[in-house]
Amino acid sequence: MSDSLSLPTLPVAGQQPAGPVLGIDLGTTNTLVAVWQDGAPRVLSDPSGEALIPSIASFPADAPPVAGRNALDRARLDPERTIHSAKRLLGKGLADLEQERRLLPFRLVEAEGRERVEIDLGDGRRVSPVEVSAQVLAEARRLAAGALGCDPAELERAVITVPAYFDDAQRQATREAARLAGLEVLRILNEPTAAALAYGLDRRGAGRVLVYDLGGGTFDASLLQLDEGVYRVLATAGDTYLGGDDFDRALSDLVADDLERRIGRRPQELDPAARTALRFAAERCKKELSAAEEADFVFHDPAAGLAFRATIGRDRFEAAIRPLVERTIERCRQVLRDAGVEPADLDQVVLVGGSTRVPLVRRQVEEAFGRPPADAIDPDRVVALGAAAQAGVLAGQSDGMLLLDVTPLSLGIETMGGAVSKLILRNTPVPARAVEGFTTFVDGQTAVKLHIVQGEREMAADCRSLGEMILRGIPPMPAGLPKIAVEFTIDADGLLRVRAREERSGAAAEIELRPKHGLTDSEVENMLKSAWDHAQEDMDRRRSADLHTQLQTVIRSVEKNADVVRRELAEAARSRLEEALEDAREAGPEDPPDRLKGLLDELEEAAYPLAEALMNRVAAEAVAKRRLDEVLDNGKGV
Amino acid sequence: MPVQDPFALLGLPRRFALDEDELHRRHLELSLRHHPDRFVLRPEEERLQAEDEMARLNEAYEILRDPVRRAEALLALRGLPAAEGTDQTSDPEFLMEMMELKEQAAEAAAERDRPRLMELLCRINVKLDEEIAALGAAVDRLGAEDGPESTAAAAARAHLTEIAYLRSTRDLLERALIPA
Repeated sequence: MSDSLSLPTLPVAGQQPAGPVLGIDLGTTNTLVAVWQDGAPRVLSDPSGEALIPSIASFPADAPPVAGRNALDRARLDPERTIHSAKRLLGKGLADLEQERRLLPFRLVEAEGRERVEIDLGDGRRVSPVEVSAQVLAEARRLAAGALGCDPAELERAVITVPAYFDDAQRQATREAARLAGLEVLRILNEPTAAALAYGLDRRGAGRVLVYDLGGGTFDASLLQLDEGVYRVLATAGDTYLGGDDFDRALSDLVADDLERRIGRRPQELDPAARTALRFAAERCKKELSAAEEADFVFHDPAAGLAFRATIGRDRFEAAIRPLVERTIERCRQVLRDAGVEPADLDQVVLVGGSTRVPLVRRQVEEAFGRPPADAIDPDRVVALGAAAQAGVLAGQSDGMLLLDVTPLSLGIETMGGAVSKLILRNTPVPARAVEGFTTFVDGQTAVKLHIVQGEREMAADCRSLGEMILRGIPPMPAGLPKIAVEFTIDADGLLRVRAREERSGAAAEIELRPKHGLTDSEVENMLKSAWDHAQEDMDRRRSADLHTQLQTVIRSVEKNADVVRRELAEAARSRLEEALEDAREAGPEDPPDRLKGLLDELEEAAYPLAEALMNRVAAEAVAKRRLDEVLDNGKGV
Repeated sequence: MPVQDPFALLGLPRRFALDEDELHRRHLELSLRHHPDRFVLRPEEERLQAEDEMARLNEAYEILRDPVRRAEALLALRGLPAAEGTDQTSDPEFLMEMMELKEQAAEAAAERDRPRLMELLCRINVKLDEEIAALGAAVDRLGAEDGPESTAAAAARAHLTEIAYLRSTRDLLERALIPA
């Protein structure tokens, strides 16, 4: 691809770009891209028909970064430099992430001079969650260009979805990521709103729809009123720390004791590669439990010689996640209360997000709202479809549809004594505006400090701090006399701007808020200059080399135990392993990545009985040694 | 940033009694014309103007939708001050009752006693409805010549204070109902 080495371009103001507007669902686990085409939204796929782009980016020490499927393969090989779930870190400071920190295989550090988290890659380099997300977005853009048969440079505009419950800093960070990926964001769209849009497309009726959106890392509940193509959000609530990742974690916790007994370590004591393998194992088991009453939790790390298998019943899994699901139901009730709507007044309950495949979620939702939830549209795709529908509207390709959304969190100013004076309440329609008057506290005061916070709590310390601004140049007056008007505006993307002015003096000072989590323009420019974008062949080569290395590691560990294979494996298992080994030895680093991946999968699968045999030996040796110790101890006593 | 007349912006009569369906209908009609989504491909100047107009319409809509803010707007349009938090304390009986309610709410919250929390919430909501009806009556009783010291204005302020108390207790209860 000749274009692939160029820097991403930002559209020039006034110049009307020609390419379609992308609708991108930037998820915690997976990302999808869709466009509006011939009067309908369409999800785009890669040449092999895969639409899900893993939201993972990897930053190798000696090569350009890779994202998506290519990065997924590197998760186990290079876990410290392969970043997943970046969405959970967007717009956050280290202090916000105490919980998350212990559970992620990579090292989080605070960015210098800013309350914002970065990932330490362990080789002197750091990347921000914004950069990780930008890589994923760039991958989505590449996939779209491939599917549409155009140059990625032609795709410069996008509608990007975020959880409705994202705060200002998280929205700003998403915007920055898009900018880094060379995309102009026409609209930041709330995920549940996008889903309702997709559901409303073929059903022009009126009604109240509750959207239950449980994704990989976030939960949203939104109540919408549909009325002849107008989608009015009545209320929204959510939790940006609750999702399928937490179900996986609950599952890992279930086997933790067992794991310790058999392997001698608890999940958090495993090395990063093994923790990644454990996470994948939990996810696999969870998915199987959605279809079966019980499933095997198979944790297998041939390179480290670890093997573990346990059978988990669905009832045990459900008991473990029930408190999490109950939290989501309570959020839904809060949404109904905020809107003054009874469950019986609902016309439809819609399920969105991969985690709604968990049967307990469906049952609880049905029980709470007295009706089976709608799931006619694939819950993984529905948000991307809605984003494309909105992209179509904004590009002027489709008409007769309008979204009226709300802001999820209240916004206010800290007053004397640390309390919050709220200017804009949650569930206010956006764009929103509010003005409030303040005054000075001491005689002759010429400046006031305004601390802007977001959240529902009464004390500023309990809310999220968005930033501070100082209004100077107030002429000296007795306390209480100056009339300071503070104006908050939220634009249609949910982003805040604050202006303050002393009205009595006429000499008005005006200030705009710069969020302290955000990047300055020059920082963004610098990041753009050091940007990436590179050829598909390069990435394939890189991926092949990685897979080949992984393959060699497994081959070596099997060869090292050739005698165990001979003596302890059953005939069928042995011949399968030998065959897989033979095929794997023939592979070279220049083979296509898909072939290498197939060989690796088969070899790992075939090596499982060997790993089991080795584990049993270790256990048997431990028992034998203890018996000997007991004999010796007894001997001493005589 | 002067006070705007939310009634005029949405083309509704300047009074407390409100036809909610009419409010929604007006807001929708104006949204279809002014929403920034209709201006995404227009020059920046038009886009920003649309954002601003829509924000003002939404602000007016929010003010009218909330009975308390609607009453405050009516007072402000007549040049009368609204309640300023604590300085207009109402009758001591009401205050006692509120303190008691708040105490019970805090207790139930600490014990995570859901049925009790729900019961208190119901009681508060009933009281809130009564207070809001009384507030509306007082505001609509205001004559053109009524000053800040008039009975109707004083009654409106007292109800506003009481509603503020009730709402803060209700918020406390609602927060307590969300499991951690």
